[in-house]
Amino acid sequence: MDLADYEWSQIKSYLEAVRPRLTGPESEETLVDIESHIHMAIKARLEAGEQGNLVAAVLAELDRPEQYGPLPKHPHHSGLSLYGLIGACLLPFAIPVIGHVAELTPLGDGSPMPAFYESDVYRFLLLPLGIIGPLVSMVLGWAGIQQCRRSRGVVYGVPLGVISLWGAPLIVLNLFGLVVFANTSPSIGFPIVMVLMLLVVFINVWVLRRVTAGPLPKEHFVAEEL
Amino acid sequence: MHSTVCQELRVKSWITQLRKGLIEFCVINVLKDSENYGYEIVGRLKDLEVMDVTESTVYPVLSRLKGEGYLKVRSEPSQSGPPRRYFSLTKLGEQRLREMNAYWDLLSESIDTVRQSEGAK
Repeated sequence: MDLADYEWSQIKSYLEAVRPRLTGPESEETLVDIESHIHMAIKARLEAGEQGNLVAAVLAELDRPEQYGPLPKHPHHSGLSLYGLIGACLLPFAIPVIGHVAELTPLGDGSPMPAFYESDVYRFLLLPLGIIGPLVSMVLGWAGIQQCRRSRGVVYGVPLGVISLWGAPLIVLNLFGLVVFANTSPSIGFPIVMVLMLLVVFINVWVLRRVTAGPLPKEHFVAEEL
Repeated sequence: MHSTVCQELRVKSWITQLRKGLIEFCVINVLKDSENYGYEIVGRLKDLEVMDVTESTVYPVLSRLKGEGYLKVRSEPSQSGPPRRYFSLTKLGEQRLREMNAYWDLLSESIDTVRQSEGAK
């Protein structure tokens, strides 16, 4: 079934009018179902031997976009996702704790533990912040990514969200990989360590690619042929 | 004249509310025997003229039921347009179907009893 450009535009216009009226996490899938419905209705008319602008005929028969619900009263505020931004800002609090952990592992240089890690400022402020901060950062990162996706391009900052979500686990993973690597002699268990290191590298690359990837096009699910 | 119009509007509003509540019940029942795709489900429900169902009521309900875990979806490539999505009941959906049908039988039986007793008076 070959449709002309203007017929594709008619379908797209209808779907774009319906899109903001759909609510809930499944709204994109609902849109795919409606698009599929339109194509099925066109096919049914073709099989019945009808001619002319079948797209217009099908769209005229469908519910008006207003019937899918009212437009949201409070659309997403435009701009950078605050969740992702705050999440990314919380990550540096993990730095002193990472240093502390490094001192406690074979990665340390063997010198006595710096007095800083015994200080009250570290024990009662920086240590709790360094533990809680990355955890909160993960939650905010996830919330930021969801916010960007649901806003359909109005809120941006998915890379920041990805950094917030994956920053802390990635730091822990890399640190763990380094500790294992530094602590393993080449003769014992080396293949396993190599596999582990490859896995660590693979996860790092995957996260980096997510961070550097551009945003999903607005019409990702709809009328891809256009 | 004014009160008649008001009465009609009230009845219409009641019917609308009743239909809204029944759409989910009908959708789950349409899917009780086999999987179906959206166009087919809408078509079958449109045949029930008394329900006055259209795609703007069915598709959001399908998505919601899927989100709540009562339906699952299988996608199949289509020659035209996006992949066709086949809906079917999950175990949870089958349980919901049984519960809804049981309640519906109870409800209609009770209402019939009330109506018949009212008619006998």
